[in-house]
Amino acid sequence: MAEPTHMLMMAKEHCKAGEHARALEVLRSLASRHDPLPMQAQYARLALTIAQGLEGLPVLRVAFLAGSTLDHLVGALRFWLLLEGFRLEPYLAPFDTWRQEAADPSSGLYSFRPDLVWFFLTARDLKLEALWGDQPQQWQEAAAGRAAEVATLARQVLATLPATVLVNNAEASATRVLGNFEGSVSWSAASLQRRYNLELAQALPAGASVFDLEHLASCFGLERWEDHRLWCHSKHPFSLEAHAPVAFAGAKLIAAAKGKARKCLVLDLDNTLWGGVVGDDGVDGIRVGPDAGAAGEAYAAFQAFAKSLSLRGIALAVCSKNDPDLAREPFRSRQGMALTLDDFAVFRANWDNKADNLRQIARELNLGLEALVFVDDNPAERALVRAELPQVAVPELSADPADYMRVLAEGAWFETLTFVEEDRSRSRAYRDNAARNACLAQSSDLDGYLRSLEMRACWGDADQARLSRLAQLVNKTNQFHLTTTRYSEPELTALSLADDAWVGWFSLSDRFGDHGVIAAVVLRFRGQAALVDTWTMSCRVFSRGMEDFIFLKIWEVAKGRGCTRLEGAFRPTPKNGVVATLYDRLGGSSVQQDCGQESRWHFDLVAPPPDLTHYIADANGSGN
Amino acid sequence: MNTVWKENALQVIQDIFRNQFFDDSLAITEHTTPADIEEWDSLAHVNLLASIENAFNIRFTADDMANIDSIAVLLATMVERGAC
Repeated sequence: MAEPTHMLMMAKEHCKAGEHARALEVLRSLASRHDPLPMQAQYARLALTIAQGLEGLPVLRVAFLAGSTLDHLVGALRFWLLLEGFRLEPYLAPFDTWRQEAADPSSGLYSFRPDLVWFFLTARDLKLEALWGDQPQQWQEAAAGRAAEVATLARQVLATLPATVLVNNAEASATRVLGNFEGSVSWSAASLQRRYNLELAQALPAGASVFDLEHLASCFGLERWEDHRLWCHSKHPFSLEAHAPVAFAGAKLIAAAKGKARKCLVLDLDNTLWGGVVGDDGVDGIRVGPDAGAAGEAYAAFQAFAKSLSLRGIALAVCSKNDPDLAREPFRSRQGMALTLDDFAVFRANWDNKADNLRQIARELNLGLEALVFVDDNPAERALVRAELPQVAVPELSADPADYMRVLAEGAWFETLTFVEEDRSRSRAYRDNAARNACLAQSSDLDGYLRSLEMRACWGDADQARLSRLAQLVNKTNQFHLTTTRYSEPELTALSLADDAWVGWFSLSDRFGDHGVIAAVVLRFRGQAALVDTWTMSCRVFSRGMEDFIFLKIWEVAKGRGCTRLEGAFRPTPKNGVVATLYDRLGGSSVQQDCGQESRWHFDLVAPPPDLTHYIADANGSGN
Repeated sequence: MNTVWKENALQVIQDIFRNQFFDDSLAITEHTTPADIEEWDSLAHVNLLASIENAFNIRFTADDMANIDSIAVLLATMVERGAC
């Protein structure tokens, strides 16, 4: 790889020549959040030019409410968001006016119309000072009261704006009046800060998420994090060096909020999940587990980490150049392995090239390549995949397996703002899907296969228990999403209560397992017309007839409201091509078709519904 | 102030300024002040001083950061903080 200074110069040259996309690609391969300050300053400076020069980047309007100077942070965030594919349009509320701005509906915050509102608070803003042995009630009230105040402001923002809200929790302090004793009593500043963070997590309403500043400060090291000199001079919240890691974490979280988190971890086997080569060393010769020395411990720990990721809903897959049977043997018979064959949704061990295998894995899981993270100890394989499939994230592993876990975690590829029941069972769902695919491969005809699945669907009006999941579907789904409308949970809640709208959920199960809630629909009623405002469905249930089932239910609901016409729209994005012809296939008449732009469709509800054949039983007990 | 040191320091400072402002023709002398460089605002000021701290392995005080309002004062402060 070229020298960093040389690459930076190349990026500048591209920029000057007006080749902003090339400049960005150079920076992407160069920049790390651990780079020295002068480099970071130049990244921020270049990001300004590139963001202005690159056309067609989605704009993210972010409003910052803070009691400290955030100009450097905004600059750094502009750069890291650019690497995630967004152009930052910032609004900085006047210094230390965060309470007033959030509380006053006529403030600059509200007229800015942000997509995201960030309460960028630090421990300084909360003034949680020691209560010198006061009664338990007082220190509980001090922490809970402060959290409630912030939560109230967040709630007000969410009630007024269609925005996501981030709220920093409080970082610890390196300087402590009581020294070590601060940890021993509940009324010390350190204990109040900890208590505040727990209270804040509880108090924040749906739609608002904690930005874990405490964790970032700890990871960075509090002694390097704090810069009182910079606070005294210019009211910067923390040291300049800490800005890049904070901006990186923020950009990753914001990208996740916009549906860009990765969904699948693809793992190599030899020297990635165990030491040695199973084909050469044999099942007993590979190194994994406590009996195989320090490296054995490291491989087992990495396996356990991958297993935890699968438990939180990240799909696991294997992509290995190996004999297909031999590759599976350690999972069956070797002691010390944390992963089993059941943990993998797809297992591809063969002698084909890895780029082809990764394409196949994405296809089998109904995921885009940009949903994959690929971990391989072999630098040549990593280079090949980076060159062939730039959408796939490929962490640069160190030579020591003890580092694998940290490197993977540091990439922050699997950030999330919510966790719902469906996440817990998602890995099983991916695996069930693979079983279905196997069944399909054996089945001679598609109808026979679909019939054999014994599918049952439930559906209904959105209720409190399902709104988080529906918001997740609306915000994270990119493929089966006709209009790519995005609604926060509070917005969806408001729609579900509105007289002129219907928010519906659909769930599907079959003989291989339960998919849970897999589709969300928002209808809006205007006089005699029902408009399909939003229709999104999880990629896990594509090509099963579920869209036909849902459409017939939409028909039913609209008709039940006395509507005579159903209207639908398709707004193309780079990812939703799978539904481009959906309304056409469902029998809609096209009323408007801009080239490459939105297309609109009408259905006459007075006529009988289209004759759609599907094999899904209505488990609500009505219809079908 | 040692003239040789000063000339060398000015060279390093000039490079830092050129990098910060993306201007390879920028000439920095003892007499340069923020009034001469449009982009030399408070944000750039902090970046410049941080880069100079890194390059010379020194640390300015909070007061230094506020008081440095020309290259002449910068050089004098650098000497005071042990850069020479």
